[in-house]
Amino acid sequence: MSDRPPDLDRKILRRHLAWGWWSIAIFTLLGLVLEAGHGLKLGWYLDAGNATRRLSFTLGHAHGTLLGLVNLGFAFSLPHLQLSVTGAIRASFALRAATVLMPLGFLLGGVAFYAGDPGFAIVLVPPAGALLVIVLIAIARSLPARN
Amino acid sequence: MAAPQAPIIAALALAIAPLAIWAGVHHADDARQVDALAETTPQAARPEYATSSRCEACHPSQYHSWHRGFHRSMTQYASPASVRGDFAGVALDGGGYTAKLSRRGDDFLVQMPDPLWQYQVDTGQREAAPGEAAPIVERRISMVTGSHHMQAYWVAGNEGNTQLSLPFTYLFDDRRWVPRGDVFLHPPDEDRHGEQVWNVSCIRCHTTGGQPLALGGGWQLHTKLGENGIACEACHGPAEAHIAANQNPLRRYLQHVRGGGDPTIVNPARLPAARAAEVCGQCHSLTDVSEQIELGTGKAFVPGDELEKTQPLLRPLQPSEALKKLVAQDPRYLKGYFWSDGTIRVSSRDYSGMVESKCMASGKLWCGSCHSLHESDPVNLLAAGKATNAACTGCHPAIAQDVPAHTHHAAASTGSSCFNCHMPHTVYGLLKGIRNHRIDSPKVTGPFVAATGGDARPNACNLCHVDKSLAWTADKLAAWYKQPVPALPPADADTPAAVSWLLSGDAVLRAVSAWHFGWDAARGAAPAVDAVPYVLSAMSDPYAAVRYVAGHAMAKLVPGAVFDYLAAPEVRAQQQQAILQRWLADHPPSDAAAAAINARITQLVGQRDNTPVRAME
Repeated sequence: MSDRPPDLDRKILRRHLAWGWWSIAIFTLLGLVLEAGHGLKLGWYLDAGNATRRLSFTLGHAHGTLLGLVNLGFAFSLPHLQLSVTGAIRASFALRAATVLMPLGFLLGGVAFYAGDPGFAIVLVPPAGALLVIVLIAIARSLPARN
Repeated sequence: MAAPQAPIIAALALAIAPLAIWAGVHHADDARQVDALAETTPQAARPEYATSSRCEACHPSQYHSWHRGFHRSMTQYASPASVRGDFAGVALDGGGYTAKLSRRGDDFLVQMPDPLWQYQVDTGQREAAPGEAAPIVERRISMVTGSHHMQAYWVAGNEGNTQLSLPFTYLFDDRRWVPRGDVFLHPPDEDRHGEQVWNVSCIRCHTTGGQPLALGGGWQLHTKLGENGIACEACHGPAEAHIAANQNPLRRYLQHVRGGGDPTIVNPARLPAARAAEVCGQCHSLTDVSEQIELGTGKAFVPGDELEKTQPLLRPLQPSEALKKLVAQDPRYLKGYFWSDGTIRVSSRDYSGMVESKCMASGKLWCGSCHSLHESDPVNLLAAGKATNAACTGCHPAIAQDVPAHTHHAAASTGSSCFNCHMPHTVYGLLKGIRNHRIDSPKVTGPFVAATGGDARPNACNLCHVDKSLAWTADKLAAWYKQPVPALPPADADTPAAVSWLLSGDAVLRAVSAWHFGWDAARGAAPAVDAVPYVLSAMSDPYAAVRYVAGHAMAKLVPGAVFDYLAAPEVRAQQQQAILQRWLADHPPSDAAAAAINARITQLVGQRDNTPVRAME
């Protein structure tokens, strides 16, 4: 069990539950939009020359949904994590930053792109990925020992 | 104690094992076939060429627009996806050859006289005993040429990766096989169409970075390609260095920010117009081809280079020593390619026409001014908006203000189309008329059609107004454009010029004229029915290709007309007679008119320019 103030844990937990469910809702909705793109055969999305856009949007949708689940996992795991107050606050921040930046980088990168390269917004993705990796390692390391 | 799942796992294993064994054997068979094909068929094996599949990742739009075009599929390996001819147990006989076609799985097979034996006999490298015929062999079709109008086929010569021709070609529109020699315009009394070696002829322009590697190799050719077909690197240059440089994302994004060209690759659209046109001109022209190009390491030209350095153009209007030498060796050389005024007259050599244009001299015009490989209809490769007068009025805005004032034709008529007057279909190839790319104005000039003037370039006016004489055109051009009126021989003064060309011209002029009788614009400008007797006469032309073109024109003039240009003469005569009877029933001429038509036909056919011509399309 952690020695963090219960109020802080409740606050973080609630926040990540909200972020998780909202992310899943928003990116599932985006998934519907992308399916509509297929259904309506939108050239802007499906044409061979727009493969980069299609890939970027698909990645944005997938990462956004997955990060929603990670937020939920974090919320449910929090009571079991041996993170300090600072650690918990930083992990929460890093996870939320990754949740915003990673899908945003992919989505904006697909709006305007350069043939086989996504647009400049793709620069958001690597730092977001790095933040996510750091926070996942921090979470994994903060799990209590077996006994 | 065994785990409870053990029987289930064992059952699954038993079920899967035969499938795995079958898949393994099948895969091994496929692999062996692929290996065999690779050994006997030229493959992409030049390290500096990346091949188009690697361009796709970064340039998907350009890749796909190229992929749907006909340049890509100019040469393909034979497969169910590429072969369009009918191989369902077909027996072919004609042009001095026989062949039996069949299909086994994904393989297309032909039983035919050994093509290598035939080629060696034809070229004097082997002596055939009197009465000895080529042994019959079975070969797998290895490669195909063409995917738009017709398709030619190649089989391995079983010497290195030499590819020899199947002596029959499949015509798409007609859905029939025809002897290869009857696809081209060549003298009817010439010998059987000889075997062709793909590695030292087609490879130059129907592949990317092709290297015949035939020098000193005897028959053991080990030809290499950059890529089969006309792929990205044919126009953009070898791309391996470009790909290597751009694996660095920072470099790529820096390029995106900077804009402009990437120095590691050639983009013809960024080259000066003349240099850009040479990228197309490397193939779409008549150039002096060295032995090194023809038989050795292939073309040295790389997009962006000056074409003249490695493949100097052969231009009758500016004859080089090389051209003079070729003409000295073969006095008929020029007739195979050019009208008597030095304008190219055979297909796929449009750059040779364009360089003689005044428009080209302006320094602005290049192929990309009207055509686009990536943003166009693959059929004619015309860029958006370039199928109309807009293609020309960008540089000639004054004419656009009042088109009829310039053309003297109604604004919406075909006579007000810039192309129809300045780029008429005076190029012959692919069994049809094709637009001339020497952009100039119609003129009535000599030499006029007679036994010596059969290769005079026909003018646009009379190719559309097929019922009008040269005198009529000369008068119009004098009245409208202040052109001098030439002195015309009496026959040219009152005979419809197109009829005169159709029956008295040399073979190329006859073919070009015949095509115009079926051209929609011409049929709109002149009463089509009047042309029937003359076109009917052209359907007896000694050149098979002329008969083909005339027969197709007749099908437009008399819908439902049946004519086989390769049928026996007596069968063709019956078919022509049936068409004539239909025409006579609907348009019975007076006795005097019929006699005049017959007299004109007899006279014009008697004046025919019979100089043997082989159109080098």
